[in-house]
Amino acid sequence: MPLRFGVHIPTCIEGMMYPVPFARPHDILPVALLAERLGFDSVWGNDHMTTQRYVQRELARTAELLRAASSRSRTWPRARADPPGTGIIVLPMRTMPVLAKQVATLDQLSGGRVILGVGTGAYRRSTRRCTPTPGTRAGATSSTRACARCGCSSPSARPRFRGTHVRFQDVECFPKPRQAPLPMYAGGNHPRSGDAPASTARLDAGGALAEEIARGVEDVHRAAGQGRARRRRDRHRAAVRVLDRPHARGGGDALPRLAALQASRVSEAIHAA
Amino acid sequence: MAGRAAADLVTDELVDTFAVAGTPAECRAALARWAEAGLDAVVAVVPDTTDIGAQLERMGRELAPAWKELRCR
Repeated sequence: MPLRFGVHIPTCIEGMMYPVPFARPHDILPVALLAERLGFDSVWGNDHMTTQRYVQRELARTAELLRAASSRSRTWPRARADPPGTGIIVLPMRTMPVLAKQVATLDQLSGGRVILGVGTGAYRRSTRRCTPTPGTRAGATSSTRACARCGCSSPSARPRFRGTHVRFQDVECFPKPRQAPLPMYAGGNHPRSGDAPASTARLDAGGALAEEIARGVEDVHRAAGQGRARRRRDRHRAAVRVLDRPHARGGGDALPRLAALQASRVSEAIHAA
Repeated sequence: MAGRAAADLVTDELVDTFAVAGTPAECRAALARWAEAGLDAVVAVVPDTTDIGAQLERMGRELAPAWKELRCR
């Protein structure tokens, strides 16, 4: 299988990775369209609801956090070949039948090219303020992930799900996504991030060591061998900075490279099964 | 000045370990290490201190084709 190269568009990280105001609508769209024109394999975004309090204190104005999936839906009508990643959707903040319906709709409209990323959410306060799901974030994520899978991929037009933290029944979930199964990448650097029957994926934190990546890949393949994951694929989201000219190692040109390191520390990475 | 002092604490080895940064050849070498670790897809995040459009152009021209020619283990 050929290796794949995707890019991240700057949604939801204004104030964290990008200065305020940076990620305005007229900044996002050209970047997304450029990425598409250049033929990258996928285009991703972030899914934060609020900035962390310590970041807010440094900002002169409120950061504009655009929704990743919404941003991508704006560019999909023009899309040609790039699979649109939804970003890592924070499941405990979502109502599952509604999310399943949204994802199915987007997959239909994009011609069956959606990659669904799901996770617990990096910022505890954001989740606490917005979540309709009680319980621990990890538990809620596991439950909602299975629930999302059920809503998206159950062959029944009226699937039902009864989990520890979430449940639904008698909700019309039709049409289904065009893809069966829908690629679902589970995010987070907790060891159990990809350990769910519903997931086809695993993510871990940006800036992972090669050894950690190798361990994650082995975990994913082990899960695939046990039938808990349906596809074998590994993704890693990482900061990339290409310099114009050779730099002097040993600190002579450290700052441009340091910028890449800063980006990797606040970004997420994806391992997908 | 404080930022400069912090930057001085970051070694090239540290950057090489956690990010893909440098000349195109260095970036390709870093990506090859991850492919060797078993990775088959990468999503690039461009730092804010650079022209994101120019970086995407360079990644599309100098990194993505080479990455796609690699084979993960």
